[in-house]
Amino acid sequence: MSGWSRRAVLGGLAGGIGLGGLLSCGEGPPPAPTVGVLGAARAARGHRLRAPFRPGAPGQRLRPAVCVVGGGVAGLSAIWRLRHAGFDGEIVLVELDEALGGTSQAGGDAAAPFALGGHYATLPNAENLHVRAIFEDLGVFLPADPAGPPRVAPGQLCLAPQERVFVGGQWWPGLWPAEGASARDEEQRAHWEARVEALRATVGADGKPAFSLPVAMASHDPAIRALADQSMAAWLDAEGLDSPRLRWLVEYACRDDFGTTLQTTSAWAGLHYHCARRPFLHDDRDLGTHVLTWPAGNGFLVAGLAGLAARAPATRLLGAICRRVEPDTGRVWVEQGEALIQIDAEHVVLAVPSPVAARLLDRPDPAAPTAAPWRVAVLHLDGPARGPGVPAAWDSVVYQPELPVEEADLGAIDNEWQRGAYGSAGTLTWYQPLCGADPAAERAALLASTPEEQAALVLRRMRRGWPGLPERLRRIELWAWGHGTVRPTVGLHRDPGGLATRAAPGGRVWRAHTDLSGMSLFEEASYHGVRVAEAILAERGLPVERPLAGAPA
Amino acid sequence: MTDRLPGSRPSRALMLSAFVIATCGLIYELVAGALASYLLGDSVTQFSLIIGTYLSAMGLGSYLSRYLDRNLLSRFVEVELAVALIGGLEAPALFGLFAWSPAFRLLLYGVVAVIGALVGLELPLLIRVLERETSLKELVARVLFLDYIGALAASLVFPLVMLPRLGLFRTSIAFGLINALVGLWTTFQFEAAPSVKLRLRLMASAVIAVLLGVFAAAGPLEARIDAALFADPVVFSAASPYQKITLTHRGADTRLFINGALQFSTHDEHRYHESLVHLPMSAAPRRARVLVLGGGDGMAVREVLRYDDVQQVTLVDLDPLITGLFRDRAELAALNGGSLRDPRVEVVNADAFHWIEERVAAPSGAHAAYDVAIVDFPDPNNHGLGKLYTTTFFGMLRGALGPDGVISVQATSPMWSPAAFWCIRRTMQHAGWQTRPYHTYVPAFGEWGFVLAGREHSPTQFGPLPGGLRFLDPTTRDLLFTFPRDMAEQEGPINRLDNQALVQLYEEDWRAMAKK
Repeated sequence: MSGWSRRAVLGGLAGGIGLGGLLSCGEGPPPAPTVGVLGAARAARGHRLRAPFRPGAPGQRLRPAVCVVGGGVAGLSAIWRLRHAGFDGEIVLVELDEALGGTSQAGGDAAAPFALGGHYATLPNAENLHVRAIFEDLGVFLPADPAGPPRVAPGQLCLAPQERVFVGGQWWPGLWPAEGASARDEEQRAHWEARVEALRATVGADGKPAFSLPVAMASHDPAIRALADQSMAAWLDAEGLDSPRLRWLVEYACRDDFGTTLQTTSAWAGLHYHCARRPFLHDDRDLGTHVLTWPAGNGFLVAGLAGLAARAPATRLLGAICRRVEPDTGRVWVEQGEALIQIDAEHVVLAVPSPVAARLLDRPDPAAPTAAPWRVAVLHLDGPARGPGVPAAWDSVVYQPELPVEEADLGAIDNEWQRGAYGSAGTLTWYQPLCGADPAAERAALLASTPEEQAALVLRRMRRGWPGLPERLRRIELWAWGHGTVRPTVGLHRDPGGLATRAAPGGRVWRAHTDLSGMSLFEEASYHGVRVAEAILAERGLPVERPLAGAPA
Repeated sequence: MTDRLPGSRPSRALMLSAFVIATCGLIYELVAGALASYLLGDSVTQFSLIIGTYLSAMGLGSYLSRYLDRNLLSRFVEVELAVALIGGLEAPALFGLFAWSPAFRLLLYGVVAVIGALVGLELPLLIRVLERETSLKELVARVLFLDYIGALAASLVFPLVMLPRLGLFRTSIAFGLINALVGLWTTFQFEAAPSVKLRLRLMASAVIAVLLGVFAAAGPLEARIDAALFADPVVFSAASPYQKITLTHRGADTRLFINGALQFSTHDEHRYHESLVHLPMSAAPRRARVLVLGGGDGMAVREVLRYDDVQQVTLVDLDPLITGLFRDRAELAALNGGSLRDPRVEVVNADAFHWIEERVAAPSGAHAAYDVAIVDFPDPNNHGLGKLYTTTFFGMLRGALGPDGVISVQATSPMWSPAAFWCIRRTMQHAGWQTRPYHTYVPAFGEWGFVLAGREHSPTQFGPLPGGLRFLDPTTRDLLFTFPRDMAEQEGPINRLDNQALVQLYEEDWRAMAKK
């Protein structure tokens, strides 16, 4: 009997789920699983930025050496780099949210954390010094000779099997939907892989790799950057790659990292995803993956950086809204609750997205990169909810070519996977970037939809791949990223100088944010934080033995 | 509608039957899931498929309830009795079908679907009967409340009380009886023509009689069915929520099965355990402290204890059921010579991966190093077991042994799963062990493989063997290291946590075997 009523409850919840409507009767029983909303107050607080601001008499004055505005990966990396170099001056960190981490923050508690946004990093390239240094400091890498390859600590690389794809009524290993693929699909996939391989090894006229992570290390060769002038779709067309499965796979990558489609992503960015990673490792025999992940997702890195950043005294203002930044004086105005705080800093690190920076500096930036909103759902299960086919993987993706790309989701990540649970229980985080061409409209629609509607959507999407879910689901929590990932649209990466200009507002202010790279990745955000910190160290005349952010932005 | 409820008290009684229905319904589902897991293995898949079948059938049953319009209470009792009969006999029937029928899966899902459909019919019927008495709001609240609580009761009672006390057969029958009694009792709660009532009560009595009869015969019946399943007479069986242990006996041969898979035969287990244990033990310069991973049956420990200089043995095995049985049950302890009761032996019930991980992570000096480790895990047929054969695991194991440490590892069959066998050897070598693969013929298993390894030096020098061995002597020991051409070394990947290559190789090996 248990099943009858639970099914009906879920049916009532989901509204449109065929069988559900049939079975639910009149006044339905109370909804189980329960539906919750996480971080509901964030959007309202963020939107206060739009209200006019007039400096008044401050209730509190702070005079730190450095003020960091924005407690995401970029801001925390800046503090980490300053402390790593032995800088012990006072630092004030201002963060809008109640928690640190920005789009890398985790939810839950230490015993059962779950990712809400960024949930992996990749093994760094040889030229990517700063990520290696951070990983060695966090214990992700073991101490190793800096001249040789890094040594990864046990349990950091994503456990196998990393991915599975639901196609043809069941789960299959890997991400490529091989089941039902035609010979032509397979041919085109081979062609694509050969092209990626070649581009990964391509070096520009300036001697730098065509693609690199961080993008600051990539070649400025105009012949390569011309790829940013066309869409990924146009590039695939020109290559004669019309296989729907291949295009789905390539578009999956665009949606996953950028929240954009084949039509909106530039070919440079679309190829970057596949061609920028050339990891090397001390022990790489039969390496199964380049992905590093943790039960809290990149919340693990955030907690680690925040811990290391606290090596010397620092003031953290959480839930605090920065309202104005004056570049020439280094004055920062902050509202925390009813209090107005005036911060006079010798250096200001503005670790916020470009549109926010434009407001704080009062310098309109109409060409600032846009960001895609994301819908995220956390599903709390009391047992395995598997479907037919291979039993489990870290990342479970449903091949759903019938859906318009704007409505497609990315599937779900198993938050317990990295503990070696192999799918036995725990929480899943389900992700859906809202890839429509107009992010503002998508954002409005996202914020307007009710939790129940959203929960119903998630359950509908997971119905085929996780048929046991209704029996196992105890709670579903929704989270919205209004500005989730920066969109590397056509043209954005054409001129490397364009992003650099945005990075240097002048005066005492330094900007650090992943949107200066045109893509939202841990490697990029931390790069900008480290770069800015090294610039501040240099300006203060402090020696930087081994610069970690090698190339100029 | 000719059946009528007389007053308000009986409707409360009918409410109570919602509770009983929920409990029984979930029990039948759990019985089918547990049974499928025992018989077919891979409990996750089995439970998923059973739950899926069952729920969809309930849905169908609920939908079909719309076609029942007249005499709802009589229909309700009839459905109740049908559920009682089929659900009650589910476990013995399915067990029997497994032993005798080739199309077991089809029958299993068929039976589950029928029970699901009938159970699915019940609640809508009940709600419709009671709808005439109470407001829908009140009714739905109360019926669904009782339904959920009933499900909770079942999910607690099944693994904690019923299964350990009564076993699978009698659990299933007991709940069938409860279902039938509720059916019978319901006939006293409504008004209908005496002929109708008489018919229903006769049916109920017949169902109860059948179930009581089968219940009484359940013990011998279970033994009979086990005997059909296992070639030899079953002398002992026990079940935990995870697995079923069966011991068979014929002549001088005793065999242990876990979920139907042969673990050992007393006829030849000495070949396996002497090979597993005495190569590392006789090669080790020191053997005061010995670690045994897996091997909860205590057979490997029995061999370890043949050496007088062994001071301490730690046995780490996941399942307390197995180690408990082999320590406390006389007929099982007789097989390992009471090794698990030896004062030198400490039994730890833990996941070996996490146990080693914690040990290695502890500050140096917190734990004394082991001299010898015997690694006897099940074959790597899933990712949870595959992790026990990775570079990470073997690397951590090196950290738990002293510099002179020597180990042996059960490494599947070099004959039936050669790719997997050589992958384990390569992986150990890659993790820093100096390895020497070897193999033994065990008639019950076929050609079986092990890897002998030293932490720093390849174990090439052997000391004397203890007395009382039935298989090994120094000449035989030296022969075990020779691999003939059909088991020759193969190239391939190493097994890492981030590739789990071994699980795939093992699967491919067995698929290839099945085709031969």
